[in-house]
Amino acid sequence: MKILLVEDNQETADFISRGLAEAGDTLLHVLNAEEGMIQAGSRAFDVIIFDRMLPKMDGADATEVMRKAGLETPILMLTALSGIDDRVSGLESGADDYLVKPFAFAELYARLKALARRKPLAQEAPTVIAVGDLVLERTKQRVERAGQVLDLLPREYRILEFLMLNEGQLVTRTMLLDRIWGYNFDPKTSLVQTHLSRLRAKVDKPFDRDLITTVRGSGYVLSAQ
Amino acid sequence: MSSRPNKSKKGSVFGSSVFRRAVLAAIASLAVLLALGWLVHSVVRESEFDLLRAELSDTREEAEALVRDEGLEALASALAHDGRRIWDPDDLYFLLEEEERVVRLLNADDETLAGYPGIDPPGGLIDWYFLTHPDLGDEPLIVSREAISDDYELVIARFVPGRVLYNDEVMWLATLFLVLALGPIALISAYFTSRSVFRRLDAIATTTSAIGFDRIDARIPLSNKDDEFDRLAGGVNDMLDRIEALTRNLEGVTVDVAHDLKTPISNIAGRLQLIERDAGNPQAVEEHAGVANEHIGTLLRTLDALLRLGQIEAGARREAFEHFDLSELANELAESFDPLFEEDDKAFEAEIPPIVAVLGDRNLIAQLITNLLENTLEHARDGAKVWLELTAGHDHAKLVVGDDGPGIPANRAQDIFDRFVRMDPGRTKAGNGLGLSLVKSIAGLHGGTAEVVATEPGLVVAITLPNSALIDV
Repeated sequence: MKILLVEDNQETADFISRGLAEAGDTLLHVLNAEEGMIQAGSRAFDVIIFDRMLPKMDGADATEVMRKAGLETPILMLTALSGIDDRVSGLESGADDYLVKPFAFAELYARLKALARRKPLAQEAPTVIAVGDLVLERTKQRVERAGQVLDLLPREYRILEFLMLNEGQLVTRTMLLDRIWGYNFDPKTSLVQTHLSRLRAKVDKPFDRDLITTVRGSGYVLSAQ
Repeated sequence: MSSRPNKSKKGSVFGSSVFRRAVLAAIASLAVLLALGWLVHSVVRESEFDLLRAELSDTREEAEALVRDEGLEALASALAHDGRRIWDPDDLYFLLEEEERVVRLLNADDETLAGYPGIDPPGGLIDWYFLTHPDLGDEPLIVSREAISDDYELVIARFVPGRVLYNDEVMWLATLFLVLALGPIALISAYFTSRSVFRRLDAIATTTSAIGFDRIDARIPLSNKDDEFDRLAGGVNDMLDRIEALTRNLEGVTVDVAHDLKTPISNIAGRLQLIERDAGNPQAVEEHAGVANEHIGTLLRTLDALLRLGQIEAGARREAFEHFDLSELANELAESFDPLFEEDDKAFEAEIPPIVAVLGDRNLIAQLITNLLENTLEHARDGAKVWLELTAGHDHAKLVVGDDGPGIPANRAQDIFDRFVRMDPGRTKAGNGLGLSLVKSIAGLHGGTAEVVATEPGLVVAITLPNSALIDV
């Protein structure tokens, strides 16, 4: 992935760039919003990471300007631990995702991957997604594995769909809470885990090979390998 | 309130504004009294003089008639006293007693034809004329001097009656006394009227300055008169009770926050030391890092909850309220939590009519219901029956979350909404003790309430939310 990072805090920037270098991704790091907007407009990036609190210009304002200028690159906004209102205004400004500091690198990376996959200019999402012998028909909301129809609850269907759209990528618990439940708070109970284990009981248990694997402490990956 | 905590001067009655006002009021009322006295006096005096003037003019008319009918000579002889046309100064004693008047008829050369030559006023009518007399001294007269025929003038004078002089004297004396005594009288009356007011205000001032120093527990004494001072003092005392409770709560919370943050931080510190020790063993390092990360997660959740509480209680989110389908939200959450209760061996039932909407913040209400369900999930006994009920009143929605055991001690029903309160003394169970505080804050933000409706056999909590509506179906 080619990533632009707009972040004035050197420590955060180092943390991100080290992780991305290890993963083999290309990173351009700039320190302020003006420079960030110039770079975003002049080169093609897969994802832009924009810090919310920047000197002189707010990241949300910069995002709004870029969106008005027609920029369609996915934007992930970073913010300090502050809470509920920031998130809403951040997303309203045109950012595609929102992550609260401090965060685990795995969380950031999973979200970057998910954003990079989401092609700009609404490339028609496939109506049928297949991973190995698992097939999901989006028009009929029907799931089959090895020719056998799976009986899923609506929420289980949505979780599976999200995992399949991010095939081979880490999907974190907070991403699921965000996308499937629409929560921006972290329930202390094992809400996600319980639903995932029920889903796995239907998708994987009756079959020889597990498609969904747990990444300890982070989330889940669905893949045919 | 014997201690005198701050350096402000001890208030004195004489320096107080109520005293100054009372002095001004006393001076003003005395001035009004004087003005009124003089007004009445001058009216009375004027009517006395009107009478005298009328008598003078009657006498003059008689004299004029006499001159017209019988000639000047007749008048001159009529004015004679004891056969003397020209009066002696001694005659005045008698005239003063008997006739109460003095006359003088004179020609153009100032020669007296009849009457008393010693009276020589200027022309016209004079209310207050002093006759100079060798023995009587200065006697005030009302006097008129006008022509009675060609070349002759007639002076008629009447003594101003003693009662008029006496009234004048009394008025002047009273005025003098009042002016001299005004200061002291005003001060004394002001002192007595302001003293009680001052005392009570001073009690309030003393109490508030004591609180300003360090005695938040000081309260203003009440007088049981139930007057405006008692209402003020009562209001201030109520306010102080609330402030004190908040302060004590804040102090408690600060200690609890410190405790709740210290535990995970020491665990993280311990794991970091273990990582240093086991640097050569990647597997051990990974395990330590994993545990440390979990503690950091706990820490962040606590901080996040505290920040949310602060934001919610500041009320900033009220602007973003909109009507949303509470039935749908409750159903969705019930459905989400159903497997969790099942895994936890609890029987969960939800009773949600499909038509209830409320005005509010959907996300916060989602958190409210989640926190209530999580609380039950954590604390209800194994095999417990748990329920979520939504009902619609005519203008409010009611959410009830309950279980059938083990409940909490009845006397702690009010405490469960306090921050960092946990019913298990060992703090062994998960959670930071903020979940139900958030529930109450969120309900409060929506203008609703959160109440414990039963403590046994299990805990039942009811949330009311106003501004509800039934959705048309």
